[in-house]
Amino acid sequence: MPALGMAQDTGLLVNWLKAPGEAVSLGDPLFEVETDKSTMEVEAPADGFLTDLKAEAGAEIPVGQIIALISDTAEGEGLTQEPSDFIDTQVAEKVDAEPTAAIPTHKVADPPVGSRQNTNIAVAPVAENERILASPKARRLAHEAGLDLNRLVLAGHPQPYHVADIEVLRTLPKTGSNAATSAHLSQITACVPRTGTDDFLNWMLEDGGITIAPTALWASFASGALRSAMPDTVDLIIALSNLTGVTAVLKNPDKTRLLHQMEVPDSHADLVLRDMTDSPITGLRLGPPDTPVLSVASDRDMLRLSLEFTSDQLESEAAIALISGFAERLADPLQYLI
Amino acid sequence: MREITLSQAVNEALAEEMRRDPSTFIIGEDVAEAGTPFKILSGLVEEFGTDRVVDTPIAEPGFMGLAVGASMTGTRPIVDLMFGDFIFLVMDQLCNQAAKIHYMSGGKMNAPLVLRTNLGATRRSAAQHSQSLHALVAHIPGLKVALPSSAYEAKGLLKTAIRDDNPVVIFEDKLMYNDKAPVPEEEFLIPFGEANVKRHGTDITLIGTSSMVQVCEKAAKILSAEGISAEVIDPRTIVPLDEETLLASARKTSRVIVVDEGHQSYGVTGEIASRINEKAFYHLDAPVLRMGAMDVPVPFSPALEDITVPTPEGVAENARRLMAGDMFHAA
Repeated sequence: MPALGMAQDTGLLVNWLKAPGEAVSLGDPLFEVETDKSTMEVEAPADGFLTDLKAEAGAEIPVGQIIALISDTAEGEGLTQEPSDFIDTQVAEKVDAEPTAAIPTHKVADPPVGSRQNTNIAVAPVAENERILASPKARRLAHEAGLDLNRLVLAGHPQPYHVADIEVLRTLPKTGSNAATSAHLSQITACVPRTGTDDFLNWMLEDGGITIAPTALWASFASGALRSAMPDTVDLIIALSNLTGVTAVLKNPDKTRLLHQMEVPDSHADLVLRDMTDSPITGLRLGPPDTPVLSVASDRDMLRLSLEFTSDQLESEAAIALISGFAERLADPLQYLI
Repeated sequence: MREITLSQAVNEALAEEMRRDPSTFIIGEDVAEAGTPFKILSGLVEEFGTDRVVDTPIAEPGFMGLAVGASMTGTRPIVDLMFGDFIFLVMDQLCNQAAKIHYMSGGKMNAPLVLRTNLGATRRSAAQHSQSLHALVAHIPGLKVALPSSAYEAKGLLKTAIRDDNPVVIFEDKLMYNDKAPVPEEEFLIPFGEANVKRHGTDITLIGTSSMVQVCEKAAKILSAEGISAEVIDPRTIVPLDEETLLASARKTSRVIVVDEGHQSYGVTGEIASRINEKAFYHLDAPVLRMGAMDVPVPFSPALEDITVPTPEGVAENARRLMAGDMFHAA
């Protein structure tokens, strides 16, 4: 449920404009929402099929709650997550973790057609990441007055903004304390087939008699992907964790051998890598984390990846690059290890 | 105050300065016997004789080179170039020699000459006699460029040009020679680098050069009837340029249109707009607009020629769009 207006906590789902399983294209009207001000149509943020409907017409739904998926297949994802009320915002990005590659020496079965790339349709207010069109003078006046142009966007005031619009902004009621600047939880999810990881580890074991923990491989890849996403960083600290807590803290695992990763005393990590593969849990959102958390969960023959972060920890571009790079590495480990 | 035509104003300026300074002389085609196609120089040869009002063959590079040499050796030539379009013929003498001699001689020589010529379309003179080429010479360091917008400016700027120790090019608008304006009888000079605020306003600044000042003033009148207060500024010289006055107005109104009759691309409008963008950026509420002549050879067809140059209605329409917050060239 997107936030369509200022200080909006919930939206009334008036009716669905597409049927479950129906094909939708980017920009198609998906459903109608009534807020205290008006009724608006919400458009599809991606191409796909409307699946996993979790809300019926007439329901009052908290902003940020997932009410359906846009999937690559009409059958959908089998969404099991229960609605979470504490989500402020979600960055819904389509992550192309294309499961195309295979270990060069091994024949890997093609992934199932239309595998699990999905796109949540709980859309964040666009103002978070898009450039606001405003004149230089309007920008300067807003800056000098400590006014946030995002509030005009959220209020639905049409762009571009000029000096006259700053007067409108002055009269807008302020929302809760620094609502516009507080850290929002953002989440990006992706899926990759687990054959990439499994085949590589099996091959190491069978051909070389070497046992490597999956977490060592993932730590290396997460570190490498984060370094690519943020090229200016020098040292990267990756904390390994499971559902009970931190198990190891590694320094630059992408620059060391898999069997000789350098453990360091518990210090502030740049990224937490949370291994949930031993658990039936496939999704977990616990509010804004202190450190970006990259979760790896097991779902039949797939690995579900989830990156949770706040906007002051990671730019959305870097976050997308991180999870994309991580997924690419998982799909083809040997290429990145060589 | 008495009103005289722009032609008469130029004639007066020449006569007064030639009386004042015996080292001055006029040189060009049809300046003595025929008195130039625009009848500007009538009576001068009678007063000053053929030694100081010199007819030449049709050989622009020749008499321009002669004038540059004469200026370097103690005289003050006033060169008459019949059409601004002929400036291409004297580019080497003007831009490579006159503009640079002070620098190349280590300050030992200078070229205090004036090149009088013209600009302006809509005289049905076709593509080779209708161009406005002042941007070409304004690009060259060492040359000053004046663009009088009325008889008053034509007289005051020309007198200043003749007294200047640097080469100065003055472009008069050939359609304005018969336009009258109040010009004082007593002597006056207009200093270079001082813009003239023709009309005060608060909502938008219209910067016009030469005859485009009139276009801007007419646009301002149209806008005034609609409740839009336009300020009109005439820079009068584009080299040197009175940046301060232009910037102060831009900061005040937050919106600017620059209007000039040269071709729009790579021209005077682009230069002035760019300086305002650089130096008043955080005061702008809209992009600075350029309005120049269309980037086409000036058509001979009257119907086509008239739409190649900025008009009061066109300026007013752009001003309305800026005021309304329309997006120009933006997605």
